[in-house]
Amino acid sequence: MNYRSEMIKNYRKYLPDLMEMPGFYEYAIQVYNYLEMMEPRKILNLQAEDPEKLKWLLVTVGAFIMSGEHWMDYEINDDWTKIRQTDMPEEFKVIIRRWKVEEIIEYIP
Amino acid sequence: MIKPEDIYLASNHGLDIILSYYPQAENCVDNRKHFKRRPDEDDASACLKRYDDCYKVTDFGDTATAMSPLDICMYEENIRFPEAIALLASRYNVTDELKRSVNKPDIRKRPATADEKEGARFFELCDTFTADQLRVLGPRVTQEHVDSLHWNVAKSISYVKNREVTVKSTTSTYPIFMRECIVEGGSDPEKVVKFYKIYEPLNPDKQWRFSYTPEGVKPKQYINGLYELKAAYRAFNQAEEKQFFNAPGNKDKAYKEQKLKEAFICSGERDSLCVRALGYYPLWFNSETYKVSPEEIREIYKYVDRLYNIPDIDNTGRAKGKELALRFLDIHTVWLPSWLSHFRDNRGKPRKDFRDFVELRSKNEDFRNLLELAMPARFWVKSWSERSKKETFDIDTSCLHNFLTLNGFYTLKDENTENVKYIHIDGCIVEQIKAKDISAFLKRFAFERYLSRDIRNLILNSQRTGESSLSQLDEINLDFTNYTADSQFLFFSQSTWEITKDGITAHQGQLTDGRSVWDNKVIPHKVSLLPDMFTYNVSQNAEGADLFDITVNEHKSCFFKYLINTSRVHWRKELEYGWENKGVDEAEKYRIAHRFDIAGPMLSPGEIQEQKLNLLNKIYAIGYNLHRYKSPSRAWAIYAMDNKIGEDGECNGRSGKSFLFKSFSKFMRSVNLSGRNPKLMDNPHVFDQIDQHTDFVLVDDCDRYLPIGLFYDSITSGMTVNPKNNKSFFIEFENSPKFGFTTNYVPRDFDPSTNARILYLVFSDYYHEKAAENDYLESRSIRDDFGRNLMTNDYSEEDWNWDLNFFSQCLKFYLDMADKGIKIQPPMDNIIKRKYKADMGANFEDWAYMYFAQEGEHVNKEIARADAYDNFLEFSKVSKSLWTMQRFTKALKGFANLCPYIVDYNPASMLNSTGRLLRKVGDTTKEMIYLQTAAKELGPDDFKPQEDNKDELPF
Repeated sequence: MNYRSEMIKNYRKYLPDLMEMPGFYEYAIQVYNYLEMMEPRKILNLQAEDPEKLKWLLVTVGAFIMSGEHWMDYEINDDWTKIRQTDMPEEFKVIIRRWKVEEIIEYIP
Repeated sequence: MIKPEDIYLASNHGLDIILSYYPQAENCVDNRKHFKRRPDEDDASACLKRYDDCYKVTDFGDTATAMSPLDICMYEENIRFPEAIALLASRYNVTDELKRSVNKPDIRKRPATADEKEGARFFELCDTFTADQLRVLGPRVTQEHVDSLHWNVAKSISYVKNREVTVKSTTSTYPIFMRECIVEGGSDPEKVVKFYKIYEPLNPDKQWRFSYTPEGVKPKQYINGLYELKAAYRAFNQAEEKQFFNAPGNKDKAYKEQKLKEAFICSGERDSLCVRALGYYPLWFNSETYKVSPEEIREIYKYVDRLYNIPDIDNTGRAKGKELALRFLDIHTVWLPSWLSHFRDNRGKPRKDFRDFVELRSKNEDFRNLLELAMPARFWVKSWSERSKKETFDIDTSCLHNFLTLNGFYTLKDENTENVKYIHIDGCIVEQIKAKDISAFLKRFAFERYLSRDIRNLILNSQRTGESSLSQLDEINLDFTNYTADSQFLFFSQSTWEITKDGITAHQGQLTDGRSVWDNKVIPHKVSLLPDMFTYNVSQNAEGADLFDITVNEHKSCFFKYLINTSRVHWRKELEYGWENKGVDEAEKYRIAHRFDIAGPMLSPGEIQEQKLNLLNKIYAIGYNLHRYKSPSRAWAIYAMDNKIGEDGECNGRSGKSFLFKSFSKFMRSVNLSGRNPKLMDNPHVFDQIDQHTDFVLVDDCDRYLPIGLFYDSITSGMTVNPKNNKSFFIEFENSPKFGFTTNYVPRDFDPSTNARILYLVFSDYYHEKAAENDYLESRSIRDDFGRNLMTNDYSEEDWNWDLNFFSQCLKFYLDMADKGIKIQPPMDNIIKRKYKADMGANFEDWAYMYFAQEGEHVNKEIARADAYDNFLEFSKVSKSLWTMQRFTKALKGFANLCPYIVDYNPASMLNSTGRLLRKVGDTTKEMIYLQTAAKELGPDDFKPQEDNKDELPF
């Protein structure tokens, strides 16, 4: 597992410590809001010049994906460098809702 | 004693008094102009002139004598001099209050001599009273009267303590009186014990006015005046006996002792002296709470035919007067007239006792009139029938009605009905009853008092206990309003709480202002006042905005705990997210320690502030709703909604909103309407359960499409109720109920007109239901937090007491804020954001992000609104009837507010005077839209999104 997938998939491990860090919460809120307002099919590069900020970004994306039904509305590319707002049909969401989140995570490489 | 000069000094030399009666004289002050005292007079013949001490009016068309302001008051009000003094003193706030600096004895100390034993108390008496000292005791009291009751003036009273003698002496402003009290030892009238009652009537501290010396001699049961009454009885009979045997025919006959005509139980030393000054025999007790025994009453009746009681007419006096009248049915109660309390005494308090009465009405005739109205509670009379040669009983209707009113039975004045409304009053609680309930009470009374069968039959058979006679029972007009503009009364079974911004006062029994409550509005719990459960602070920031802070004190109110949790909008951060990948035990410990904490240490100051504001807003709203007073400037409905709202504008619910509203039904008469029906207001009889007694209407679980606007009229003005098969009626705004709404949807409008009518409440999702559609880890209900249901049958009286105290403290908080003109709305950011999202809908949002792309051609440029609208319709394939231009504009505003790169929508500088952006395009004028994007770069620490426009696989 590479660094990026580790940060995103296991965001729970890193989030509590980051929450203690000054500035993280303010930063994460911006990422959170941005992702939430992202228009369908739009893609965000998961990049940041500062390696610490990259960690913040990836952990926040991990937390974002797992909250609410974001895991259905957003997808991450194979090398964990981009996130895209999906355009999943409502009928498909209904089917997916019957699955358990934990089972789906197992399928994520 | 208040003198006319004191009143003139307070009323601009009496000019204010004259102008209050003759406002038309305003232009005649200090000139030669004349005025008419009555508008219908032909000539202006009165003039107003300043004399040495005051202004006076001389009417040359009348008596042509100069009338002082007091004369005018007496003439116009048709009252006597003392009443005029009292009336004007009360109007112009002139008091003769006792002052510690003036009303004090002369106290000196000296070393004790060898003869003066430690602890000894001795005194020196004056021979006679001065005129001033007599005036203190009563208006008609003379030396003869004080002598007859063994009163003396103490020149000084001394006591020895620590080998020092303290000498307390009478002064001209502080008389010390002493009464020689004689207790007879037994059958021998010569064998007596004496003690002195020391009376300092002008001591500003009322509790120190009386003391006794020597200590330990005063018996527990002692009636003042009884010794003097017995002496009078003996003297009377000696004189009568002498006269009897002087008559020639009585020489061989035995003299039968005769009783005195009457004696009076008075409520204090000065009252008793006033009674004595009128030529009667007074009796009085050493305290207001003295419980006179049946043996003592029997003893008194040995010497008098009739015993009167003159109670004070304050609340305690009335209660004690009623109690005595009902314990001893033969005692005649002399009720002082109620007008007496309209006058104020020298301390500015309502007049209440016999001395006050005599001060205003000092003639013997006035007292005789009072005696004429005095009645006993015994309502049956025994007489001897010569015809049947046996005792007969009859009912005295007047005494029967007196007996019933003493027991709290009245008829109620109700102008809306022809029928007689019978009521029973217990303290301040009023119960509507039927005439037969009164008959049943009389029957029960006769049994409980072991009255003879003749009397019991009389009660059952007499027409005087029938409905036609009872309908003439004393009529009473009661005030059932339980609020004023700045206070609220809560009536509990054993006490009444008066809540103001300054505090909560508990009253027992009848309220001083006669305020009453129907029994079905009484909160059926026993309560006691508890300390404040929260403290708050209101300050202002540099911009003048109000900043609120609350500190939760130690308390046991389950309701307050519930309210705290419904305000914890950041609970997940504190209880879940913050503990991921940390020790389970530690997390559990934190959860237990901060189960009901509004300011958990894991939250940032901003989050704590947000939660606190949510809590204060709820406390404020509870207080607002419990205050039954309706202010036109605070005509709001409470609107409760969830903080967490789904993307489609629907919330999960189950957050505890309805519980709060349903708790109001414990205090107020509530009507519930189901808001689930969006066509609720189409029903013409929608309010048919509401009447003028309804305090609160809850529209529960409102549908997304329920038009709240249709309720606005009912919120801000009165309401028309149209009951089925009945005539509709209108409830005035002041009496109409307050409204509350709960909804699981985002409100459709946040416009100023809505905000002015709504007091929002935001509920956290702390209480929630886990479902397939959400990511909650568990379901949590109010019951889970407390292990039982709140405010139900298994709630203990202690729980109720804490909660009722909390509600009262909410009221106090609200009244304080209302006084400062503050309305506390909850933090609305999240709600408003979601509301905009709901305004747009997913379809519009997709289109808008495309059409108004950040780098696109439709931003920072005027676009014809109709063109954008057409483009949207084409994109979304929706009909114009579904997406009207109005809805489109609203959605557009929502987008402009939410879109991170749009900073302004139709900038104010571009609008015309009517607030519209109109431009001439060709021959026609078109409405334009202008969306301005952000020009400024984000700061170095800000998140800089790097978007990727290549939608390439693999994803």
